[in-house]
Amino acid sequence: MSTVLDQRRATPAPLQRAADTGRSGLLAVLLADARLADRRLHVLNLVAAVLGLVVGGAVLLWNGADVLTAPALALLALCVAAPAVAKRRVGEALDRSTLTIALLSAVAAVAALLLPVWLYGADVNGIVHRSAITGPMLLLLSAFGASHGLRGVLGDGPSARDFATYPVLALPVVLAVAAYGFILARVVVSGVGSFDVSLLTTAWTQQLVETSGAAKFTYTVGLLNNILGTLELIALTSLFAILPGVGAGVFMSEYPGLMAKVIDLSTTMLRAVSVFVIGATAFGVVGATSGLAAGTPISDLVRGVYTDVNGLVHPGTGSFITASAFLALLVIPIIAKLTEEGLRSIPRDLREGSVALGTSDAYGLRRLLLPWAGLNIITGLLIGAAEASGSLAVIMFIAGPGQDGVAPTNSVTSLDYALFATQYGLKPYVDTMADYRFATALLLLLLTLGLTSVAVVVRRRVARRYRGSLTAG
Amino acid sequence: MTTTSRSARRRPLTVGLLAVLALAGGLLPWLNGTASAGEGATLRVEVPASPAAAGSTFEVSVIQSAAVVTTGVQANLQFDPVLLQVVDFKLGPAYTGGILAFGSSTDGSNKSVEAAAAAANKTGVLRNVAAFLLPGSGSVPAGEAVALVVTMQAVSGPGGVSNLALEALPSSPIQMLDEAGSLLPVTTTGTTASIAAAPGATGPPRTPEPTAAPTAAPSPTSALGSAVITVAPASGLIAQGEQSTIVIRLLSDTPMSQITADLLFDRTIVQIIDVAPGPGWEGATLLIGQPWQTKDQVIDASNGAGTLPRVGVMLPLETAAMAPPDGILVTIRVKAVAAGTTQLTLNNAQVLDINGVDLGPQMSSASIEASAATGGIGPTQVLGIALLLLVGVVILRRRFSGEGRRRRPITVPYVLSLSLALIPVAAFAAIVIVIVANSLPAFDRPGLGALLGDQFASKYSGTNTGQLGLLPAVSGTILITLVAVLIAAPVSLAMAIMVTEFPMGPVSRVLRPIVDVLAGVPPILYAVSGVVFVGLVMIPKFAGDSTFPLDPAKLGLAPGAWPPAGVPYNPGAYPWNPGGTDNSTLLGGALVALLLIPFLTPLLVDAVRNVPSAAREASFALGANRRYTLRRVLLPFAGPGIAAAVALGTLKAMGDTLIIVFAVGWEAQTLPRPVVDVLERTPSLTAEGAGLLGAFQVANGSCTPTECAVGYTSALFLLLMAGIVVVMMTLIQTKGRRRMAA
Repeated sequence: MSTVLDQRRATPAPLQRAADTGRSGLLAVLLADARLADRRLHVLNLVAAVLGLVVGGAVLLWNGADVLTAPALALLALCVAAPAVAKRRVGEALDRSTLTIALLSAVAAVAALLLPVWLYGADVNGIVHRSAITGPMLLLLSAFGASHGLRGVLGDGPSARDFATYPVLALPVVLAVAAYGFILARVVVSGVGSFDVSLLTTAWTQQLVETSGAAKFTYTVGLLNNILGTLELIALTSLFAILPGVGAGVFMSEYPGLMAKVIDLSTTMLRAVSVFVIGATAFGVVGATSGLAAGTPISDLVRGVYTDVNGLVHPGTGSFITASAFLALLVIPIIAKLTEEGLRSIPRDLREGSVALGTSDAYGLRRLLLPWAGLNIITGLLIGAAEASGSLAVIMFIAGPGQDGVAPTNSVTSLDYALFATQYGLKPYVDTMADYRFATALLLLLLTLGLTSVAVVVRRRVARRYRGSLTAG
Repeated sequence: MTTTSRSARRRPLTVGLLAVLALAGGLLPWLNGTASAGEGATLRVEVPASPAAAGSTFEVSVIQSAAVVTTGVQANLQFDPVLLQVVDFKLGPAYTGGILAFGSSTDGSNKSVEAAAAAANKTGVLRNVAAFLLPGSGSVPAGEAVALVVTMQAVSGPGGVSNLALEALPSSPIQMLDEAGSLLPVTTTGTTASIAAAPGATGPPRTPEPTAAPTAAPSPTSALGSAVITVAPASGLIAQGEQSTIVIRLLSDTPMSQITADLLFDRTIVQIIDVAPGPGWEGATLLIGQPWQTKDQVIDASNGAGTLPRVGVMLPLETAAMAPPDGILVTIRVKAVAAGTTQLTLNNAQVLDINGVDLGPQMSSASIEASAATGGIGPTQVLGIALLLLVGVVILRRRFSGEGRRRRPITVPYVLSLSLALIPVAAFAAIVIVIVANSLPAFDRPGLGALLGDQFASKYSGTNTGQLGLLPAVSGTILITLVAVLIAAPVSLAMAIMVTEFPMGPVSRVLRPIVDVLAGVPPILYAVSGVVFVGLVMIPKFAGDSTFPLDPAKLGLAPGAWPPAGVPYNPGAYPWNPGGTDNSTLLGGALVALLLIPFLTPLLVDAVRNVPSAAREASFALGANRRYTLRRVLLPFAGPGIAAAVALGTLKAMGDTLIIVFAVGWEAQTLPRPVVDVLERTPSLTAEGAGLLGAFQVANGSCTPTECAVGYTSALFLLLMAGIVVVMMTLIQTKGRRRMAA
């Protein structure tokens, strides 16, 4: 494919260039040479666009650079228009992109001059500096201008047009990557800065010091229970989710029909329904058991227990088992979908060979299908585990600081809860743990990134298998 | 595992499922709960058969009848005090040697039988009279027994018929104790006593209110004194689950300025839905509870306690000076939640005339009987029947479709995978049921109309409108999701294209795994570090900081130009609200977009990669460059996949708006003007629902019944919105598949 185009580019005959423009006839051949002069003007275009990009970046970071947006836009408009004017003199029609970019830049330049410095809506609500509007506008138009200029500089051939799409594609990608880089860097730097090894070994507890008069508490700070809690949530969620997920995936791929459609719809809806709805349901289920005292099996299983500072046992706000059960609802669709994909990808030969040899369905499932889809299932488990450790809504309704340890019937806690409590100021947790917010974030980040990285690696192995021979395994 | 053998059995599993569903559906009416009549015990009243002569005394027996051994009984006897007077009461022969208890300490009626009788004769109810045997001193054998004997005297006068009923009052229920001392369910039956007219008496005989069942107690409305407040239900008999109104009326001969009273009711039988000032006075202000409580708080508390405190109206003095008002002061809407009879009593009434003097009004009481639910067609039954019909229709269509059907053998893997696969189906159904059930109370109060309103009174800002409209939150969700998807979709598309069609050397090779890994970053991390990101990059773009009031000079405005005239005060909006620091939807949407991009990019990459390579290669073979192929071949073919990915992204954005509460808050109070103003804070449904359910409070999650119900309603709305998006996504995918096949 690319070789063909390269060959075409290597023949710079005027006829060829004329053919590139899509025109034919003597006029096109005559005009072909005039386009060489175009190239120098397009360099100007490119320079103006690069300047616009730089100014746009500066404007995004610093309000003061706003005075430069209008001149930059005007410059861009002029430089884009210049080759077009030259073309017009030669009698060639303007192409649409030149016109659009030039016009838009001119309009934007005028707008940048005329807009008030601070903008607000009819109700005078959020007030925003005009550079929040003009800055992105400048960046966008500069990207298109750079694309246009690049195209002209490279001769406006098909592969030149290909190459010219890169600035337009690169701009959003660069911005997004910069944003992510900033966020993650911030988490890493602050987390490392406030990190303390003792966080990993001590649990957060609250003890009563004196009881006469106002109660006084001392606290030990640590994340041990939170870390163990997150790990336990991941383990329990995977345990709860794997069988239904694999079962659903197997059913959907092996026994298509109405039932499979119903199951497909349900799993899609479980994924589609936001985490908040599942969290609200968890809250409702825990609330439904509120009449029972601590110590009854149902209360323990659903609500967990916690021991308060006086040593009395109370029903908690939600046990690990409840939290894992609801988180499993989020993970089941992931596993089901991946299992189904894996099973669908089995080559027909293998299936038919298995049936031809007279094996039963159960044997085929056990020996052929599940091992083949095994990697998919593992990927699903890993991705699901990452989701379980990060899912906020279920946690925020039923979690607590987890002073009692992490037995399955204790009140649920996790790193997510630690972050949530310190972020949104839930006392008394936030008073003691506010300093360690970024360390907590760093730990959570490491955990989830670790899980997803392993998932990515496993997924690549799955993909590589398909590129290989049929019997690869 | 393609099936190769055909079984002759007819889908036993499906038939079995159908049978189970039919059973469940058929049981639904009964599951709707009628108060079981109970095989407990009965209490009834017996009077002499012939009419009592005026002035004579006769005995009224309270007879119990139980299937088990009992040790105690307590009841209240209601009668018409104009016709009858209580003279004495004592233990019946069954409780000989036991203890007689009566009255209450609040009005001194427990001091002696005479005091109790006197109190009874004033109000028409002999309260709290109880007979019981101490443990060890015997018990009443099963069967019939006379528990109490009340001696009553017929008063001279025009005569008539008086109801004699055993009523449960808010603070004195009707109870029977069995041998172990635990309560038995009791049903009561009243009777009537007819009193002969006294010689020479004039006037029509008094009769009890003519209703099918003995219901309303006589309410003395004689205007003794300067003011009488009466409570009157619109109907004495309402069906369980239905609503009715009660009015509080005033009759007086002096201009009033303020009327309040406590209303006592049995909260297990009726619940209060709403209170409104009646049409009797124009311009009156409703008084309810303490001045700092909202109406919702008071109604919630009263539904828990059985007392609606200090309900009434207040008139401005100019109106109060007008002619003495008669009429309906307060209209109370109630709903019957269980079968039974409740007394409606007024207490602690205060009527102030225009000089502020308390006139000490006469009060009355009434009662409402709630009949048991007929088990007829309610919403649960309709749902069950519809479900059955749907399943039946689908199965019948498949059965008679005439196409060749594959008969599946019932093998172990089939059953195993089916039963496992039904778990998520059941879970989803359970989620829907829990959400719907928990949000049903909100359709009574505040009602669907109020829920769709566009005002929301914050429970944190102390405004007292008590409105709970969810429309601002719905529009907030839509706005935030729109902003997020509009920012994230092009960026994700650009990334996907860079990874697949326009690779840029090492950059693309590194980009794909980076994006895959970033997809696993939990949303809370964006909230935690996003604050700082927002602070460094975005805040300077937004006017100033959180100082309030805003300094016009900072905006380059002349002093006095702020706040601009003619703009209505919007308590939820920045910068009116000093609690909101530079918040806006644009900010929140951008953060959610950051969350969406790693989620969308792999989906879009897959969508582009799944275009059949034949189309791609054909395009290149015909001489097109990569850009043309992308624009004219790949993107149209990948259209359905892209649409599905964007739909999934929309769903995820709708759910993840929870993380940006710090940017947009969690109470959507009004609709922004114009609606698409992205510079305003527009909290989302998830945040508002979470706030209503108490997730942002200090202690872990508590909410009053109204707030809880509205929180679940917001989850319901979210469910519906997600359902709509899923349906649209399926339609687009089917259309796309059809187009590709064509």
